[in-house]
Amino acid sequence: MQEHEVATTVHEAASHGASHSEAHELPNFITALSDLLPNSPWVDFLHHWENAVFSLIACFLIAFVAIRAARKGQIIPQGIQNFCEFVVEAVDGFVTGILGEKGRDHVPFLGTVFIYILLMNWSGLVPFMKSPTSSWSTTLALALTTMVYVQATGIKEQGLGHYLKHMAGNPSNLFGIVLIPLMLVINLTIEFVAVPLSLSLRLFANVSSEDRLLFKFAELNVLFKGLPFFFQLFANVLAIAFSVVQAFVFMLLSTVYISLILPHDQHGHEEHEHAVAHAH
Amino acid sequence: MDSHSVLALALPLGLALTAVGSALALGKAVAAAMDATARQPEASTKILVNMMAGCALIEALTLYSLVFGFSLMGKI
Repeated sequence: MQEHEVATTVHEAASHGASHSEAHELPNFITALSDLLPNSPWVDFLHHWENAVFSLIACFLIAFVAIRAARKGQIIPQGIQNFCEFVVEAVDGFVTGILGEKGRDHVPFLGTVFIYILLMNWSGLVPFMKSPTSSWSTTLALALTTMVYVQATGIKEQGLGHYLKHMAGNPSNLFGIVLIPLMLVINLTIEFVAVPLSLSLRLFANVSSEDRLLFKFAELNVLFKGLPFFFQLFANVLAIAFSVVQAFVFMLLSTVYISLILPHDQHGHEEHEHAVAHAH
Repeated sequence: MDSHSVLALALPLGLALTAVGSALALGKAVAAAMDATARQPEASTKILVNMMAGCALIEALTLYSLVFGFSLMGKI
């Protein structure tokens, strides 16, 4: 019975999508609403901003869980507080493992990015929900935020003069000074164009292709009366695993970008760090 | 041969070519990680994390071409 309902919903979504644009994802409650009430301006508004709606739902979920966990500050944590402390300590251990003890300042940003992206990726697996990260606008916003954070960290930690010198390729002799325009163009392109593009496109491509895969298998399930059910199950398991991996990779790359832009003299082996930075 | 049939031929071929490249690179990465784990089993968690990060970076190349495929698919 339920299968039949899901089947009709999928078909409706497919036909509805075909009338406007091609449907790539499983229907969510907003597309269902816009099917039921085609002329309501409120539903149109929600349908237009559905990615923002679902990312706000993820925000509220994080805020709710965090407030619930922090309300009773026990010395010996229990239940939800225990779980949250476990997550925070894992992220903290990972970030300080790469950035050193000074990197603890960046744990709040990086941990927030990780948990937020993970929840947004997973929300595509919940019935009547959608992954906001399956559209480029959300992931581009995340990547631009990360880029601004990284550059601001660079200016704050190195000072504006050293930051500009780093951008100009650390000229030390006449040859370096001649090369300044070239290095400036290369560094600016890498930092302000390549980094956000690669961060956002990677996440967007992964999550949107996961969602398309789930949609295609749901379609096949409807066409062949539930025969490819185990393919669907396999795709679901794959989507759960790869959502974690993609959120982790986003956090890892943000951490690496921060570690590349931090001043290098605190590590002791300056030459090696410079070599890594330039190879990058 | 008009532009539609050229696109219809080129999109799957391009995706397949990038998939071949990604598969070769993934094979190399995983083989090296397995080697390292066999030599040093106590570092297996660290190696696994690094391997996963590298694998995600390699896979992203295929997915870029998938994005291009999807964005050009409307023109077929």
